[in-house]
Amino acid sequence: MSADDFDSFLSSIRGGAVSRETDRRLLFDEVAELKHLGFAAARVPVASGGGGLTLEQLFARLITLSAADSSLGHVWRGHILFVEALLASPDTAYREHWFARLSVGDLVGNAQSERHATAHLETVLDRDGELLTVTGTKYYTTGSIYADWIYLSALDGTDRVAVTVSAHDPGTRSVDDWDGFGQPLTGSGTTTFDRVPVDPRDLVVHSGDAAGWHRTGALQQLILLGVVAGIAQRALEDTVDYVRARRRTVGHAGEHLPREDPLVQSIVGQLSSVVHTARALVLASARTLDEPTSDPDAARSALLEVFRVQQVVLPLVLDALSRLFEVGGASAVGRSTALDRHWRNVRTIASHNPAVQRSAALGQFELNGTLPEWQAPGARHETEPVPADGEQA
Amino acid sequence: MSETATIDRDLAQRFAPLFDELGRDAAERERERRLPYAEVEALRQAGFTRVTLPRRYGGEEATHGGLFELLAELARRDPNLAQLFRSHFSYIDRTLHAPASADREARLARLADGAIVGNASHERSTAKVGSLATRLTETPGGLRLNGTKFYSTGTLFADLVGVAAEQDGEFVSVLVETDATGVERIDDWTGFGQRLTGSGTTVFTEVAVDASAVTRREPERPSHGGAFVQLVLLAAVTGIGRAIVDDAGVFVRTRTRTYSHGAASTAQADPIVQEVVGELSAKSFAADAALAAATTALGRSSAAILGADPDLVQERIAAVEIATARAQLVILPAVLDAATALFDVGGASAVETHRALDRHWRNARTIASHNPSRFKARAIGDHVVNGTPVASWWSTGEA
Repeated sequence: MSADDFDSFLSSIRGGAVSRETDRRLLFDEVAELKHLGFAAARVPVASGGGGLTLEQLFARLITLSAADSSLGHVWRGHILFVEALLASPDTAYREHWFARLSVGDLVGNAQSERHATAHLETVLDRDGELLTVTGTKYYTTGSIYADWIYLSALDGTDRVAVTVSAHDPGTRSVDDWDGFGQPLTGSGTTTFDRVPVDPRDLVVHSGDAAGWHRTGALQQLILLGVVAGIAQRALEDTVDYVRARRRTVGHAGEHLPREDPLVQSIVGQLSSVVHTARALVLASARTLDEPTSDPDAARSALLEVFRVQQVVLPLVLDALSRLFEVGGASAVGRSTALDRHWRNVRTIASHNPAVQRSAALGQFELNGTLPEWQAPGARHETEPVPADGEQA
Repeated sequence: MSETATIDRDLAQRFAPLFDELGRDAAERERERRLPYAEVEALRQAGFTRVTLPRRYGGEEATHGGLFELLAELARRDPNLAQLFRSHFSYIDRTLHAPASADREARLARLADGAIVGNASHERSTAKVGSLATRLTETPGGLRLNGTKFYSTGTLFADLVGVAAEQDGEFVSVLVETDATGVERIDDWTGFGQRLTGSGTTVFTEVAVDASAVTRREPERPSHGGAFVQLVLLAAVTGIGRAIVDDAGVFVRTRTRTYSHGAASTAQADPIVQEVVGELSAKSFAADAALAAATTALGRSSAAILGADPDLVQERIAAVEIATARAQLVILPAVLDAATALFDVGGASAVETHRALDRHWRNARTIASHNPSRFKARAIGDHVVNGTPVASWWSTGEA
């Protein structure tokens, strides 16, 4: 995946982002082009047919991809998580079996959350002799509508397991029933599995490895923050375009053009500061996470670093996306300019993860050196953590 | 309790059931872009459009404080409805302040009859700041009005429209019947918020105008009209602030899903959720207090205008201009921040479009964009530092 090809792809799609959202035109063509460019295998080693990017390089691309089209960046969340877990797997055969699929462009979607009053699982793995199948209904299955494979959690008896099944199986069905006011093209709706066959090689019982789990938790949030940083970047670009083209001013004759107005410049300067800070913080965390560690304390530090970044970046970006309208008058609220989509998109992403709740967890850690029970891997479950409400984990 | 306070309180109680009814399908109306003709008619029938008129014109003599509280309460149910009466109540205020005349009497009689007044002031033309492209011209057949206005808030629902125009280089206000020949009202407002205010284009083509419908704008005659119309917008935003608190309470109380990240087993019992809602409530309170302070100042300037003491009028108009600009700088950020923080009560389901909880931000953001706050902050700063008077009328145009 050459940087030039990637950049020219971004230039080709960025202009259509507003109309795609307005018309709710799903991103099948755009995802297909990205797969063709090798984005699915960006982190796969070069020797195994991939792009060999570092995690920081991948995040730099995720940010610019999300700037071009915020849903298009978000769609890869489950895929990136899957690939990062794969890269950390000690099972060489398993890794190579998946590297081959990724290298031809296969996209892995995810399906974790279910819509019940509690966080228990109703999706089950059935065993009929040698034949394994999975049956259940998942929601917030971001990316699955575009996927070739879907990674999901299920119960094998009383054990929580992870399986990866074909998205093209007749028993797998993803529906575009995502009804959020933001990120409309992520296909984050329902996926149903009706006796979908599971290749035993794609059944993973997690080892309860604390370091790995912390890294996954950190990546879950950092990917969303990468998308948010990309949206903020696009908002800055859109604001600059809007102000540069603008001749109308508020006040009295003889005042200068909006682009020369210190009050307007100050708002753009604030937005620019938020954009660059968000990007720098996301990339710094990606650098920290680049090398998987087996030390649980180091992994936990990296997780907390991401949680802290989240506390700072989300409110800063949301605030800047609300204030950018101060650069202009009522024409900035037109639906063709669609400057409101940036706030709607970030607000939607931020609502998928209760960041406010994490501030208390961070404080608990600073004050008492402990984390809430949801943080303790293996304490109650030997396998995966229970996904939080509404998380697209 | 003073007599006027009693009138205001009784009015708030009297209109509450109607406002509740009009608010019930506000989100649905917005989603379907169903213009609120029926709702405006219901308000007219209930006497809402006449509340500030004297009793002998069928009114209720609501004070400024009473009117703006009613507007905030209406906006709490549907901010579109509150905003679309902006020009109507401003027109009544202006008419009540005008010296006695046959024209004034005729206008008040129309209002007593239930007439609703819209506006056509703003242009998107390339006219310079402080000038207008809409012209009133003398022709052999009489006066004719020509021009195109944008942001004609409320005009779709109005019987009369006040049009700002130039006549021989002078500014005039022309009152036109909305069903007159040559008046075309277009619902082409495409803002992402306040979608149902009918804030679109109004075109005037060779509209015949009677001389009695023309009022010369008298820059030397002091007016608090700029503050008045701004306060209608602020009342709408204040109402949105109350709706945010209402919706946060309902959302949290009806939430059944438990959080694995939560600090308590239900959202309702969660200290962090309670804290978020407390912040929303305080922001709404700040908006209420700022609105009340500014509308009190508006009542005082009105009393001075009616009392015709020129020195007092100048002083009180200056005071209401400053109070309104300051209120804007309190109310807009408070409610916009609350509209964003509302979602911190948690839960991905809060973003579902059927709940339309994003409409609070979209509506507040749209109203806030009608008068950028940065310029007001600068003007107040200039006043504080240099003693520069805060401008009363704000106009837009090409630099």
